[in-house]
Amino acid sequence: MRKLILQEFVTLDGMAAEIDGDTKFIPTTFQSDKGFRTEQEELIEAANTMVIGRKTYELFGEYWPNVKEGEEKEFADKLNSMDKIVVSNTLESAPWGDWEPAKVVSGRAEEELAKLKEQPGSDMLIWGSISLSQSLINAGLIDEIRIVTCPLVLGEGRPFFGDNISSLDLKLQDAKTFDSGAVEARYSPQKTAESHRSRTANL
Amino acid sequence: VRKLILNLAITLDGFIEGPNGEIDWLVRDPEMDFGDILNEILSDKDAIFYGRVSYDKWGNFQPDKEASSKIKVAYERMHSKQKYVFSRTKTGDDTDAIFINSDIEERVLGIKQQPGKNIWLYGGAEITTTLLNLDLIDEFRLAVHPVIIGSGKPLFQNIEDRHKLKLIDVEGYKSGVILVKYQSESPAT
Repeated sequence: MRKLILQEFVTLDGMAAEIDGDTKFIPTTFQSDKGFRTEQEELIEAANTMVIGRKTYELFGEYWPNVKEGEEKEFADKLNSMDKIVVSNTLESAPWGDWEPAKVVSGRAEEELAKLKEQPGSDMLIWGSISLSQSLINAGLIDEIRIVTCPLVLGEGRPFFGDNISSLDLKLQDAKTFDSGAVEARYSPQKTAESHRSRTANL
Repeated sequence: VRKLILNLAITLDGFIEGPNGEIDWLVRDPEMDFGDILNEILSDKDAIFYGRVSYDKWGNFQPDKEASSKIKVAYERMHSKQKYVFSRTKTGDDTDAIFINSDIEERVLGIKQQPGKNIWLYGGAEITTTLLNLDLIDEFRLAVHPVIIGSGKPLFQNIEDRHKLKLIDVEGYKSGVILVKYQSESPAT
């Protein structure tokens, strides 16, 4: 079965983006942080299908296919050539510049992703897509959670983990640091930890 | 100058307590019990800062009779430190704790100038916010526990400005806890 991997970039205070959606705090793959770039390239190679929600599609589909020169191009080419799936009930098509368009999947994300996991293909990778990620975590469909914590506190922004997420125990697989000061922790979800909400402190 | 260091356990989703004050999500470490952790935290500190609520709850906590001697010794050590309690209204209790009601910035800078070891910022969230907004926290040592709890009391809230941090160290434990250490960089511009 194909694995579904979630990779999310957050600040130390858990923001996935600034209030205006900006994500400049994310380390760049093409400048100072070579180790991070290698890591990302390996990840894309292993999980060559991108799964994103509509809002992230609007950002990615606008940005990445238009990187046509410069230091970022090599990485952009790798990203653009991935298989791409957009989960949306409103979009009819999802063009991707001059590249192969993304496939639009409508319906309940949980059901659709469960089906996709059964189909042949490479492992799947989710970026951004806060609400999609939350429903997939809650549905127990995520096989691996990679949280890349960037070294700053934003104060305000768009939190990645919101009230909509159910409690969950995780198993740490490994933690890596990068030159930019980002820390990537890789977890596999365990059973849902219902009890954390109801139990009271007991020391 | 003494450093003010926030040592705290948080969930992966950034909570320091569940919605009803729960800390049952703290993962036990087979290699390190709470006595070891406390001793480690206390090793470079000789003073502790508490918010009033945290102080009332944990400031004079006594371990059970059945607790290991290591934990008992660690708490004894903890209670031998000079404690400072930040409260708007409470001015003292029957211990040697010093209560700070006003002029927080001035008082904290004064304490930092005094000779001594580092200062442990115990929490909770409100005093952490105040001190972070005043740019008085020098180091963050966060034990990130491998759990998502979905709701509760967040460590970071009402932060006024962005703060750039410098990663100093990361250590992963068998329990799945990651200890991350950051240094405050000069106030972000």
